[in-house]
Amino acid sequence: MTRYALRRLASIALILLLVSVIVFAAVHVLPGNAATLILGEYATPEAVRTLEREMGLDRPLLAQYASWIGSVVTGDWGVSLAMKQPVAAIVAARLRNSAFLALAALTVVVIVGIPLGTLAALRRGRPVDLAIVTATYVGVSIPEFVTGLALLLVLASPSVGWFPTSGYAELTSGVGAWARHLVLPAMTLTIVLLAHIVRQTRSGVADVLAAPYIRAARLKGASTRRIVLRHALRNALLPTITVLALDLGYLMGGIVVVEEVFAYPGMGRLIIYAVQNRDVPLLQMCALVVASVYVLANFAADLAYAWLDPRIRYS
Amino acid sequence: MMWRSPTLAVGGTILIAVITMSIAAPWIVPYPTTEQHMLDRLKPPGARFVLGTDQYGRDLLSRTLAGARPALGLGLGAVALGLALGVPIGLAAGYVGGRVDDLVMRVVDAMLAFPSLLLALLIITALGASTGHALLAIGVANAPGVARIVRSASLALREAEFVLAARVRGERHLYVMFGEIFPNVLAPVIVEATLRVGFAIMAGASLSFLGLGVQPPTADWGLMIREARQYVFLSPWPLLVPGTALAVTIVAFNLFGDGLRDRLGAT
Amino acid sequence: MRMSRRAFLKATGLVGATAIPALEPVSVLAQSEKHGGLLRVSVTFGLSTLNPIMHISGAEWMATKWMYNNLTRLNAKREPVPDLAESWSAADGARVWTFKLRQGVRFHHGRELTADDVVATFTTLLDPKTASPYRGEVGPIDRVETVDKSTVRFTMRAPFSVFPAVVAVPNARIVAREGLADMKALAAREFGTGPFKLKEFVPGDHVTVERFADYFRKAEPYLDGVTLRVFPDPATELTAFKSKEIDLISGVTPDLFSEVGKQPGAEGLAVAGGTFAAVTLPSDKPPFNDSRVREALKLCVDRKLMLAAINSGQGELGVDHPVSSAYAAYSPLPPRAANIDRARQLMKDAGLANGVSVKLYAANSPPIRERIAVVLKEMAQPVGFNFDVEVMAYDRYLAQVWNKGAMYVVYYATRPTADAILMKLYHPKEGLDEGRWAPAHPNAIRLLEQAREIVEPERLRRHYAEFLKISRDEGPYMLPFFTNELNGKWAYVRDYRLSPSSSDMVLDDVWLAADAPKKKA
Repeated sequence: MTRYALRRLASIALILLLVSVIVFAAVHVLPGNAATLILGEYATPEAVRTLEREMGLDRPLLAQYASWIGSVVTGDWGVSLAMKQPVAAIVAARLRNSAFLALAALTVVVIVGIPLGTLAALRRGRPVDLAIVTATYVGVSIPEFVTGLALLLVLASPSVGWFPTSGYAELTSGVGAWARHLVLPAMTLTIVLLAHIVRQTRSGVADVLAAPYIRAARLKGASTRRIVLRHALRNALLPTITVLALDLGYLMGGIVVVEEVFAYPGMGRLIIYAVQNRDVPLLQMCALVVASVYVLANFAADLAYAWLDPRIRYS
Repeated sequence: MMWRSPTLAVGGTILIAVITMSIAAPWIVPYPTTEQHMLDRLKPPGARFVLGTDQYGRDLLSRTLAGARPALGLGLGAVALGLALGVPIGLAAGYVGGRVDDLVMRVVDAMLAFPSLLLALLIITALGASTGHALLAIGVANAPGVARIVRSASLALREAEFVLAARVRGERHLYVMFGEIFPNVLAPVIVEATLRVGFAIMAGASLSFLGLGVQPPTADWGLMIREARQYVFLSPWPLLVPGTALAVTIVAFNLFGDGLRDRLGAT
Repeated sequence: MRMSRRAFLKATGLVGATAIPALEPVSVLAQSEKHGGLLRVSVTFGLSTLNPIMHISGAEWMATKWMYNNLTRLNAKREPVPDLAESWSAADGARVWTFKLRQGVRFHHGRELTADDVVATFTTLLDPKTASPYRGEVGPIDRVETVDKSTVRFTMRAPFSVFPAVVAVPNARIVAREGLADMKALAAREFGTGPFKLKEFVPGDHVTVERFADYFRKAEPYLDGVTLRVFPDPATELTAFKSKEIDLISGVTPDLFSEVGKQPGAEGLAVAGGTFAAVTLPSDKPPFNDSRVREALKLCVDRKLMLAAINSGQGELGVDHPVSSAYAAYSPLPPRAANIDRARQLMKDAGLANGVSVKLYAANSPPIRERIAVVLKEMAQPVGFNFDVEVMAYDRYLAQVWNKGAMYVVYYATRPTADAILMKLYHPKEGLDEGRWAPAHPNAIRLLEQAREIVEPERLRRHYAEFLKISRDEGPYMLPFFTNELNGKWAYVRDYRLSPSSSDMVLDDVWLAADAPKKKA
């Protein structure tokens, strides 16, 4: 098992290295660089040259990449070319914001989704089941930006004004404000993700309920609730965790659309900003962080899978 | 027949309607899609403009009908590209196995870990924002996932009797891959493809929403919603009309794909 | 306009008179009662550096305005008035400018301002090694030298009558010579003489300044401090304003402007500005090398409708030249209405009766660019123009379209002088000549150069009027309107005047009324 884990970690490191090379190469294929973008329409050839020299952008590509790798292994992620602040601090703040949103959404999804899925499995084939499946189905099929804008329209319009239309409030401004800014984007994400969890839980619980040993327990007089809680859920947890892990990966890097709709300052918008400004140090850290979350979440899911199901053994 | 499955029936019917509308759009639109009626901006549904107008006074019904084509084209095209790239890779990896399989899958894993937003952003920034480049970006992003699925299926079939028989017969590898194995992985691939079209359409609309896809003044659902955003409290229609069209189309593809999966008893 | 009324009141000493109807709150308080309070201002973009030689964004200009002074500043009519210089004079046909500095002005770190600081500042600004983006925007300065401890002399390579207004630009803020030694450090530190000192700076997020007790304008500033905060977008900004987390929004978007006024106790301020988006008509190749075709395009546009649709009507109509009423050298010309018949006739005369296809590029930021392109495309269709609009991301636009002679949408903010914006748009050496028009119109360009020899304002205005007519009739820009400067503030912010260039924010004499919320920095 440990050998497997070590091998996985090694391949993760390789994957991340590959990601950083691709990002570096790709950004340098794009027209313009950080210097031309900072100067914008005030650019003159000499101003650009001077700025490039100052930023170290006139060195050969390999040298630039090597020096970046060199500082990263010592823990120095460099300074953002566009924002002129340490990259690590910027990314940490945005990551924290994305994490809040992801956790808020996942929490609600788990709290709401697992009971809903169980309910649907218990009442399989009946109207309740149909309603739940249809609703979640529609939820996952509507693009996030449509869902988000619709929620905005209904709950944040000036006449209703329950929630702010966008943005983010620091915890320091008060928990109330912070929470209120999280609600609409989290709700949007929840609606999109519910379907996965509900479906997994539903089929997992349904499978267990149909198993012979459950029927035997029922015949012996065990209550449905007991059966569900003791057996069905435990086994449905497996695939649910996998889905959660995948969702986490999606949430940390892919929810840029929701961030855009609600002007939420998360990782997605930061990546866009970094590409638009050819801000290589910032972009590298963003790409690696997002990729890491994805692969580590998958890895954690695989480990959890093995731990929960003794039948699975990795060599 | 096929229609015994309700999801298949419902999904299929809606799809046929959407596809018909997209083909017929140029002939059935009440107004040219870029024609502006400045004095009738942001009007709700009424006699002259059945579903209302947008911020330049353009008819929402016409634009939404016209938007079906780029959406469908992009969805189908992106998935086709993903298949064209992913199927051969997956087949080869699963068939050849061993070191090659390991290496290829490692690269595929790296591609899967690469943030898809970033991938799309880089491609589109390099080449310029347009439907074609959005299609390329989504297709490329889809390929690793397809490769994975095809590889698993192909791996399972490697030792199958009919494959061994073909090898013994002396058939060349390429034929075995595409002639023997591929037809048998077709079912899960088709199901997967149909499901992916819905999400490709969603991805395309998201890219347009972010300003990375179709550009103004083309009629495109994602772009229409992007432009509608600023005025959403002045008139909800520029958001609701294309939004509903988008939702209905994606739901239809998902229903159809799910129905197909149940029907074919695959994956 | 609100502020001219206040200026009038102040100037005629009628402040405090009760005969005036209570349309505007007139300050009757003693100056000491105005003291105190923290003003919180918002922007939606920028704030990465505080180095006044290098900075180029509106938010940064605002911040340095509070911490530094220039030799002169511009009043409401955009005329230069004394700031650090108490007087100035021209000699040798506007080739030599001499500025006499105020006495007893102190830097925040204690030392008194001398002519050496002015010379050091300009030398740094003009040094090619500094690579300041504004190096070419301060005029043809040959040398700058001290005459005595409080007199500076600028010798220009060519006549430059507008120099006193030009030294008011944000990048000519006077920096203590100690601060100029380390340009990198200057991004996060300040060496100014302004009403406020730097307290805290987080790039991209906020900057806080606090009152400088030794400011040379005695008794000012009244505020204890100011915080400028960057918000990710206008909607968030407005939300913060509504909940009184922000006292003053510095750049309200037109579609949200009506929201501001709706809050009881809040006011929206609108002032004619000089910011515009225009379309270049590249005059060095077909079809726009024919002035009839240029005129035809200008006649396609219903400017009033365009302004209503694109900027919610918040603006001043333009007649295809860049000098709005926000400029001192402004002179009005009759408005230009659309005339489709005449446009069609002109196209026929030019041999384009069957129409012509042209590619029209627009960056997607700011959004006004693509809106102009989309609306122009529709308005020009009936006349035979078939524009293939391509909207692209700003970074690609910069690399592939900007200043490369294509037809695209330009966007410029208000400049300090008509000379600055006209030279930028038309002169091939001093500016960009994005319309590629100068080579075929040397006489017009000479008009612009001659203007630099005219010191007397009324003569200058008449001289420019000639050029503006030429620009309107034959020039390479279709410029439909100027956008208004829009701010939002709460009523308890007093004596705030909105400048036609909103980043030119003077807070020296702004104060907070008693009903302002009490908060910490």
